[in-house]
Amino acid sequence: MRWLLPVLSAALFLALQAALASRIAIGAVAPDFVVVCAVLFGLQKGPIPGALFGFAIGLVVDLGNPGFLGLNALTKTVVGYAAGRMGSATSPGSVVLFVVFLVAAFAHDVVYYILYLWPGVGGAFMSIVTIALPSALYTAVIGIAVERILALLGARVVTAGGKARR
Amino acid sequence: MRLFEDVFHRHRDRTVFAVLIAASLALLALPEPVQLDVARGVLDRALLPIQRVTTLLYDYSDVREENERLRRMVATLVLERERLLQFRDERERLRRLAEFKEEQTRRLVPAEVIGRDLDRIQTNLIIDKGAGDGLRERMPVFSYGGLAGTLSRVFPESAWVQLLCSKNLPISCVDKRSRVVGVLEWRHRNLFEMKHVGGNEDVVAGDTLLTSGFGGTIPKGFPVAIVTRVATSADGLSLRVDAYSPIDFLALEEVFVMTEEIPWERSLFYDEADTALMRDVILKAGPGR
Repeated sequence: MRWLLPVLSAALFLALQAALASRIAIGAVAPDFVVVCAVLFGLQKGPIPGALFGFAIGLVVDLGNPGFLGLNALTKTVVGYAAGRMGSATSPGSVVLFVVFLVAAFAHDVVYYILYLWPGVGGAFMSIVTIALPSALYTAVIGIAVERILALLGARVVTAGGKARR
Repeated sequence: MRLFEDVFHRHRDRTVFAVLIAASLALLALPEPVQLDVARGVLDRALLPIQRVTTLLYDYSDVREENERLRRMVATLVLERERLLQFRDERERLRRLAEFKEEQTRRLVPAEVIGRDLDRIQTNLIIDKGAGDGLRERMPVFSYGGLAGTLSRVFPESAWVQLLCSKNLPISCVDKRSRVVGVLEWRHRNLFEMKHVGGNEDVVAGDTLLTSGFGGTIPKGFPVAIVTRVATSADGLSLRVDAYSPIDFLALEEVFVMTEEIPWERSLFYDEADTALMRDVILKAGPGR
């Protein structure tokens, strides 16, 4: 049953991404619930489960754009792994957590746009400045909101280092 | 072997990370047809029911507003249709008098968008029509603003539309005014660049780009984009032509798939079910109401 919670949370965040992300988008600037999910999972479980979870959930997202199969798996593996490493290093407060979401979402989009638009560096740069940066901010806000909701529901965002944050 | 075990135990997280990155890169390096095949079977069975439910949930809130809008639109269309029917009859009489040959038109199958891919750049839509409705792969898909994409995969009851705003769907276009031909490639959001245009060709900002019909997949003469900027390349041999599509690809809710050619008289305009529906609307909106 250890796999049930990751599967359910992945399904929930994928459903949120499908149903809500484009709905609450401001133009092309939309939050990325899947990144939020990968970061939270990485922070909670550590680098190996974080990377595996990121890879799996990224692969599911990739099925929707199979012309670039593996791109989301790659970016979300990086996000899950990096969040896992950060989780074991620190027990984040709200501000730190906000920065973690912001950096994770921005790094994810930078890698994503560069690989997707390669060799069109100009287009990638424009997308990074006009879409990735504001989207990362949006994702960070949503990430904090999700973390707060989880805390209100009694879920503990526990870091891999063993420290708990209520 | 022992060395590998040692390294794995000492750097287990980094090893797993490296393996996953290598696996992702290997997937990325697969040829596109193989990638499509891998995804094809999985998605239609696994994700489509979920997408249908989420779309239903989120469409529910829009129904009232949309109803109001559609009622207004129907009232306008009823009047316009009556005028057009008279023009049609007159046109047919004149064509018969002049002994023109029978004219062909294309059938447009309306389809509702029931899902999107979950990717950062949304390049695919899922529509609620499939092979059962006569759809086949590579058929062109239109929106009110012009060409929106082509069918990339067709399942019995649904189909995937690859939108123009994707990197691997270049479209051969012709300038409506000067008939200059080039290849339109996506750059960013709904911005495009027409490539392979010679330095002395006649293209100016404001020109409309139409489908050229080259390749035989997409019929000729349908609007795709509008030229926004023209600049000469550094060597003077070619033009850099920037264009934008009037379609908001992120907000598409319904599209039209262009299927086979049919005689003009049998186009959707003359569908019996449409006629019955219109009669119904006219009766309901009659003088007693």
